[in-house]
Amino acid sequence: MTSVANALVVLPAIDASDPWSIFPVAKHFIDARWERREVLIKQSREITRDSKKLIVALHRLQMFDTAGLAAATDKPLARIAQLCATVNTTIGHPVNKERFYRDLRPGMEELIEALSFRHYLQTGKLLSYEETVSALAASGHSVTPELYILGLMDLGGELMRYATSQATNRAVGIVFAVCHFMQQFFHGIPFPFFVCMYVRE
Amino acid sequence: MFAHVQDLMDRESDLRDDIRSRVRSLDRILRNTHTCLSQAFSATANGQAIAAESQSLFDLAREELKQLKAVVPSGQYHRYASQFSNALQTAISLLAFRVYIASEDLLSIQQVEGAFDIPVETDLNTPLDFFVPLDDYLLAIASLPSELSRLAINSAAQRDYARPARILAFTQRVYQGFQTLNLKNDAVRRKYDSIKYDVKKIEEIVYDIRMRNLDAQQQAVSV
Repeated sequence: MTSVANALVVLPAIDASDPWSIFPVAKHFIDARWERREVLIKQSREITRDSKKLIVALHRLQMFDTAGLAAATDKPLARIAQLCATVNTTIGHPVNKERFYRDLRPGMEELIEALSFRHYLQTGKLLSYEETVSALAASGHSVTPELYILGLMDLGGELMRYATSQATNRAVGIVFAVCHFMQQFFHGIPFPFFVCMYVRE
Repeated sequence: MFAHVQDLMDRESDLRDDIRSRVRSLDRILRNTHTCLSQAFSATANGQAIAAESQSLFDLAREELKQLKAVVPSGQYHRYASQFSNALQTAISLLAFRVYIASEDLLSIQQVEGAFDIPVETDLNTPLDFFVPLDDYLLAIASLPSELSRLAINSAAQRDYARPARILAFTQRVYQGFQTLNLKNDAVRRKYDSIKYDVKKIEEIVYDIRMRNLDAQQQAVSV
């Protein structure tokens, strides 16, 4: 993985007097970019997979159960943080973060879904944008507003599932709490702008 | 709940509006530049003069690009690049055409940098704030062949029978350059596929000239 970012390859040189010398350089560039994309997609899939596993584990927990939450999520989150750090290394220069945004988005979205779900179970509150930013900043990742909102959209689905299974366990209070929370949540979402952003992506 | 997020999105929306208006100004200048350079089709012998005439327009384009660069936030080039990628490609392809009619040579990335004051990216690990993506440069070069096929047929129509063969050699060289690249199914690949048809067209013109012996006749006359 590190070899992708720091390959000691002999780079084709551009001869200032020969415009045709751009082609070997272009070939190398295109190949290197493709290779890095492939590595990033693989790493991003790992983040998606681990985040999904985390969400499955969260479904089995009760709300406000700090100890239970810690036991179930601390280690997986540490591992995910490590994956994020690896992704960051692969990306190389920060300007490449946007270059490969399309490939990284699914993993990041799933992660935000997991983080916000965990936060809700822990506190009964919505993980704020600022909290999301600081959670991911530790491993060098930035969060765009639309990424945050996409993650929350997925959270909606998970909360519905959670409320349903809690209802089967007769924990009616939880169902009402989640319902009220989701109502607040959906009325708050800056919907029209979100649609524009999403379409642009 | 989402006041901060809303605010960020509003600000980005404003920024994108700003970028859009810069691109519109740039497009206007490029349209004029295209009109100027198109004179080369009706007066194929005056390439150098027409190229010189277009200089002032390219200078205007450079100014617009400077304005654009000032607006795009540093470190987030790719986030906004899609808004001006087409304009950038057009600017470079016009420059490539200009270089060709002036010197029958391929536009180099140094010339792009000289004309627009913007570097062309050539490597993934070099930090650049505002640059021409290599894909945009390649796409611009790949649109040369279709213009050159028009130049070839117009040259023949204006009785320059030697030129089409030179245009053919050049276009084939461009095509070969693209053949060395490992292209995936993207825009560059599609452009590359279309170059083949332009090459074919120019080959037919050269063939026509050869069959009618026009190039040999012209050479004999000029001796």
